[in-house]
This record gives sequence, structure tokens and C-alpha cells, in this order.
Amino acid sequence: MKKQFTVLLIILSFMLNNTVSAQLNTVKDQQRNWYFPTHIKMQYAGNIGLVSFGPGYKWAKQVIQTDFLYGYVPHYKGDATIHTFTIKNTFQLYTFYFFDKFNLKPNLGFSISFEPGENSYMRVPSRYPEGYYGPNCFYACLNLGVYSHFNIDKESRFSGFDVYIEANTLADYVFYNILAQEDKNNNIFSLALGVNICFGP
Amino acid sequence: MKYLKKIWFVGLVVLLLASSCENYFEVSPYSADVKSNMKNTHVRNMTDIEKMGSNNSGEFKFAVLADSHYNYHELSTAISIVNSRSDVDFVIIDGDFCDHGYLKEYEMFFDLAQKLNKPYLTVVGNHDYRSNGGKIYRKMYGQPNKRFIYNNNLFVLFDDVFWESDVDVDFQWLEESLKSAAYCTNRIVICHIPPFDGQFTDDKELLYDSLMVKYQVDYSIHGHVHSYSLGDYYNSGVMYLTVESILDKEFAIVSVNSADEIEVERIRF
Repeated sequence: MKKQFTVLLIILSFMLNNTVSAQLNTVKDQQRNWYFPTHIKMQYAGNIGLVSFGPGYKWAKQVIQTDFLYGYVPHYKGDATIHTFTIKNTFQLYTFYFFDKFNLKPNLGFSISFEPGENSYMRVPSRYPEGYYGPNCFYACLNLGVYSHFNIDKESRFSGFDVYIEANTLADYVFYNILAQEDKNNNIFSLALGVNICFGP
Repeated sequence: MKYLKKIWFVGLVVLLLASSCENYFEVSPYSADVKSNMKNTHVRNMTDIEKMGSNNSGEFKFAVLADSHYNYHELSTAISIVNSRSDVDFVIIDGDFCDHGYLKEYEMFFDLAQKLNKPYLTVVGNHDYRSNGGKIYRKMYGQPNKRFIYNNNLFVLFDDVFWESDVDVDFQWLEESLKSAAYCTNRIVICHIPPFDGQFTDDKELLYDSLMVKYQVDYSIHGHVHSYSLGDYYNSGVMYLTVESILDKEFAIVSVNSADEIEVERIRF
């Protein structure tokens, strides 16, 4: 199974590489295919990895971003090697313009992450009675942040980049704090930094 | 392309700066990267308890709080009540003070437990082992199996979690601990899961009670079941106490009086 999966992964990488090259070569002449990402995101922290990266898509007139991210935490950092797969959705609330050149875009978002670790599972192990636990490898995050977009050259293969900072928390922590009432913990939020490398048209 | 090089450079500088402010950036809820001020809490608390115990020769009381999970409001209320009781010497947190075993849950519990005006020790529960909880527990509270003497009474805090744990339940250690303090007036074992729960197989259940009987344990105290019960469960002369959960707004204060008799007071709030 592992060998077949590896071969499939190699074939898919080859196909994707050819597709990307083909797209970049014809970027000036053709409309982007719908499946070609609008950007590559790289993020530091934010509860989805020490670093996470992956393709993203801006849609609905660039108001919504959907990213597919792989996050990694090396053992020295988390005292455990952690792999996380995340679908992140960000909704741009508004755009503020400054001096005709600069912009700030506050946004709100949520993500769903999957962590296939040693002690987390999708299917509850058989040693537990039915209903004892649910799967514990998924969690949801909420984030509130601000983006700023910078253009490079709209006609080139890399048309610009976004930089962003956001406050992030797990939906579980928000739930705990709602239950905790006046005993809520003020340290449930953390920060994340990131950049989108945007592709040309 | 030159812009990309600038982006990479700026990004690297920002990352380096961010990594120096690591307390503001969290990388994963499954991380076991415990902050340095939260490590080895048990060391100081154990020292304080043993010191008090060596100076104490009369009646004493200790509180047992179990199964708070993510009910931090109820836990805070229980802590306030314990703090108001000047007759309580120390506190045992009898497991399941987390739910998913997230580092943040351990931190939230730690922040509240710091408000106790008495030393506390913890017993690991099954929920505390979830995710990477086992690693976090050991960094914050040391090895799960502990024992101490208080006013010539033996206390054994025993890790009896079978299913969620990343280590085997150590009955050999339990027996050695009970054997080591045969001279003590009373022997009290505190672990999270009662032996009549489904996590114990029949042979392990028999083994546990036989050890309690062999070494004349007076009380075996547990949480986990979220209900109160007290009795000689196996008709073996050993009293089994299960403490109601903090989640259900109750805990217990156990007293050892001057005649070395043990009594249990239920505290509902």
C-alpha cells in the first residue's frame, strides 16, 4: 500500500509540475484554469504548525480565500513531531486605502485541521466501549487579522504578495471561556504571521 | 525575481523576531512544549507537604478534587471554598483536570491551581493522557506515581490508567510503596480509576484489591465515575471512596482524627 501510494504521489507531482509549467508559460495568453491556485501561502504559528504552507484560492471577487495547508512542528519545538493538514477560510471584511498605494484588509476566518498523531485518531480504537470518545484528530480554529497587499508586476508570473498578522484561537478554548464565565482565561489567543505569494493572471 | 529575494529576506527577519517572542505564538494544540515556569510544580509542593507533615502530630485534613475537565468556573469555586477552610492542610487533584489533553488545558488548570493557598499534588486521569498529555503531565507534575508520608500516614498517588496511558500500570511499584511504609498508622492510596471500572480487567481488579488487603490499606480513593460512593466494596476490609466530580459541583474533605480514624465530608456547592 505504501509503495503504491508513493508511486501515485510521484505521478501526481509530475503531473502538477507539468501543469504549473504549462500554466506559467501561457500565463499571458490564457485565462487561468479554475484549479490553478491564486497564491501560495506560508504561515508561522497559528496553531496549525510551526510553519505551514500550501496552495490557496481567492474567489468570490477575491473576498474569500481558501487555503489547503500542510503544517509541521519539529520534535525540538513541540516535544513531539506534529503534522497538521488544514483547510483555512478567510473572509475579507473591508479594504482601507492609504496614500493611494497602501492598503489594509481586516479579515475574519476559521479553519479545520486534521492531526494524525500517535495519540489522536479518526476511528476510536476498539479497546474503548462504544461512545466513550469521539475522534480527537480534528479541531477548529477562529482567526481575526489584517492583510496588506503589495503589487509587483500584474503581468508577470508573480504578480504580488500579501503579508498578514492574525490573532488565533481554538474553538474549544472559546467554548471553555464561555462556560468559565468570570473565571475565563485571558491567554487563549495567540498570533500568527504569514505571506501569500500571488500568481499573475 | 529580485522582489522575491527581498520578500524572502524580510520574511526571514520577521520569523527570527517572532521566534524570540515564542510565548505569543502557539504552533499546535498538541504541542508538549511546557513553559519553564510551569515545570516540576510537584517538587516544591511535595517538599511543603512533607515538611508540614513532619511538624504535625494531631488531626489533619486534606481535600480531594476530581474530574473538573473544562469546568473552570466550578473549579475556581471549589478552590475558593478550599482556601476558606483553614483546617485543610493540602489538596489532591484526583485526575481529569483536562479533557482533550491539550497543552492549553494544562495551562488553564495550572493558572487556577496557582490560586490555592495550600500545596497540591495531582493524580493523572485518563483524559489527562489524551493527545500528548502524558508528556505534558510528566513535565509539569513529574512521574505520575508518587508517595509521601504525612503525620505518619502513608499516601500513595498511583497511575492506574490502562487505556489512554503511554506507559504500563506499575503494580510492582505500588506493592513496593505499600511494603516500604508498613510502620505507618494509616495507608491511603489515591488513584483516578476505581478497580471496579471497565478499564480494569478481572485479574487486575483482583490484583489491586489483594494488594490493598495484603498491606492493610485503609482507604482507596478515586474519581472518574462522577458519583459519590463509600463502602467496603469487596468486603475485604478496605474502604473504597469515589469522589463526586467538580463538574457536578462537589468534592470531598478527608480527615484523619487524633484516634487515627478516617472520615469523609462531602462538600457541595
